[in-house]
Amino acid sequence: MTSSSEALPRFEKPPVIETVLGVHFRPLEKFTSAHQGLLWDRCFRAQFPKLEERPPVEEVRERFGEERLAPPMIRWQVSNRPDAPRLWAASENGQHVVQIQKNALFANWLKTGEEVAYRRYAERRQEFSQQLDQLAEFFRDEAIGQLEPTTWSVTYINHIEYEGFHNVGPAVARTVGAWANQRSDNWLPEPDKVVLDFTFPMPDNAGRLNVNLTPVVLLSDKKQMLRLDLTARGQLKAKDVASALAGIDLGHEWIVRGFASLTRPEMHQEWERIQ
Amino acid sequence: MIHQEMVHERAAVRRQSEPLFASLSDQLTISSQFIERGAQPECRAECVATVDWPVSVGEAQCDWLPFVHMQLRAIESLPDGWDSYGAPRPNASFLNGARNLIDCLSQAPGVPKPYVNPTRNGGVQFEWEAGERYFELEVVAEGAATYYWRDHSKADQKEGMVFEGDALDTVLDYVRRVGAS
Repeated sequence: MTSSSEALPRFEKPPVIETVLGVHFRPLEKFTSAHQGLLWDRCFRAQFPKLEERPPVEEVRERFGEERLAPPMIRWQVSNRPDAPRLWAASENGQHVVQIQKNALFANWLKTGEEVAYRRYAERRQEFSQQLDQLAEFFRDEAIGQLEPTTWSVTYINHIEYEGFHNVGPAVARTVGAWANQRSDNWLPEPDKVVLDFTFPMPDNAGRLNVNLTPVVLLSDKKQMLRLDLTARGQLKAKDVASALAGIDLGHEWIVRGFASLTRPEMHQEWERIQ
Repeated sequence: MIHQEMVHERAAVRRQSEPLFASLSDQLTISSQFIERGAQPECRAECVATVDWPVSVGEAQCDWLPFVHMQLRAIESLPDGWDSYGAPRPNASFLNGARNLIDCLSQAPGVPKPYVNPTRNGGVQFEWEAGERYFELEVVAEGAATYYWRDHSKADQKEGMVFEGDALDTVLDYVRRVGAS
């Protein structure tokens, strides 16, 4: 099933610990690092006062068909200007982050504790839509140019607890249907590392769902977790905000349906699937 | 710092921050700060196929690039009125864009040497012509260029624009088509 009018799967206690919505947009020459600071001050500072600078992230464009096998794509890079940093602005409680760079806007939500309620997509989308509107308005007010999104992306990070490195094989098998943790004989012991990567193309090359599962250790309490990272992204044909949001909706649908499809029904019970 | 050093430095920085998939979401997520990836894969094979590796410049230069750089330096030194009809001197930022554009194109295999000309509006034009096929690429701002393709044998012509940050597939396709005639 690649697209459906059926209601999306819904969990009362999903293992999601972070979501990120984002767009890359056509870089605008007049959008300097000074403007990034001005944008933060004018639109985001009140809600995201804690500021850091990080290196910009490159735009990733999904490629399909024969293009996947082609040599790496060459882009026009003008090199006399230093890369403006990516502004990483966090809310006081650390639950929300907005990231601004010369050609991208991202918004994160982090589940900062067990007691924190999962922030549903509808709210996240509304917030991000407003942030995109603020960015577009800022570009207009400052005569910087028009916001033309080129790529959309949605990332959901899930943490699934397990114990013992020697149990990683069974833990992955218990979580993901695609891994059975079986061998042809008993010669090999249990693996102490299992990393899974999947990519799923969307119809009409609308985008791709990238799935990565890897064992990690929480630095705070040394708990062992399976980190299941689902990232959907796609390029935009119509370079406008409405199309970017439609892409993000598609990405969200693929992440939710893809998560339900990849994970085992027994885990769905644990996560209290209600539809 | 001279241009070529800047180019090498930028290429080195880019290589360090190449967005392998597994680390890309790490760059974007808050939660990645709170974990240790004891079992993180060192590389994903399909990254090569799925990720556009932004190519800066400075590696595997083709043999004609130094000559084109020399031509660009000569264009840079043109005075106002260089064409005897009052054309302004070439715009330094346009020239910078042109230099970076041709540096990027030179990274791709199969790109023949272009003809290089100043334009009356302060930009630079690269031309390729062979037989019935002609392609021109005119840098009209530091990060913008127009292109024009013509194939007389098929009565085919196309125009378009390319901007800084754009993939250069279309441009390279036309350039190679000229080279293949």
